[in-house]
Amino acid sequence: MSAKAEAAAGGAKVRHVFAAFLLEDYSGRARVYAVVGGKPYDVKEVEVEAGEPVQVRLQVPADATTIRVVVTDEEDYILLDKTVTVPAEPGAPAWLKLTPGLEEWFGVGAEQPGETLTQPVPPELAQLLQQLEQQVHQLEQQAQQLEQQAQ
Amino acid sequence: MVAVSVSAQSGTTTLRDAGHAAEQLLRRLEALERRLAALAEKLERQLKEAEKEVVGG
Repeated sequence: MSAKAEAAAGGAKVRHVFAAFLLEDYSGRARVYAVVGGKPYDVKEVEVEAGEPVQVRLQVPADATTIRVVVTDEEDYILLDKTVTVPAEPGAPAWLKLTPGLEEWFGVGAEQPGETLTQPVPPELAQLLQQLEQQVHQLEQQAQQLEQQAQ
Repeated sequence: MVAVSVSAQSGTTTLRDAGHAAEQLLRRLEALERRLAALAEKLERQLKEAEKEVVGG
């Protein structure tokens, strides 16, 4: 029985993390392993393009504090091997940035899987920002009036 | 006033632009908070002076 199956059979609680990485000089199929407690807990196959960021959804035990993420090519040659700390936010998806230079693609505050800073602004967010801008402007005008009255 | 350059229709603005716009709004709100705090201090001083005048008068 695999570690993953064991976890499922045991009713262990799991959470999802999103491993993000960028390989400078490899294109092709890759396997991404989440290794917990020395055992592969989850594995995903992805298509990698050199210089392009990749994000992979991995399942790990809910109580895992650190996980080792190993990326290999199809021949199981290790392309990336990094142990990272899982952000302690129960229930929330956690971003694991495995290589530098990802901030350009994945916002530090990105909350949704697949959300990148280069994606278009959703209409509702644009509308909200415009409303907020108007409210701030009104507040500034009111503050100015109060300042003049206090002269 | 700094305009928020986020347009839902254009489709060219990005989440990064939205983040910058939100940061600008935050800076403006912080400036507003400072202005209102200064105003509150000023009004308090004026009130105390007025009270002294009433008591003294």
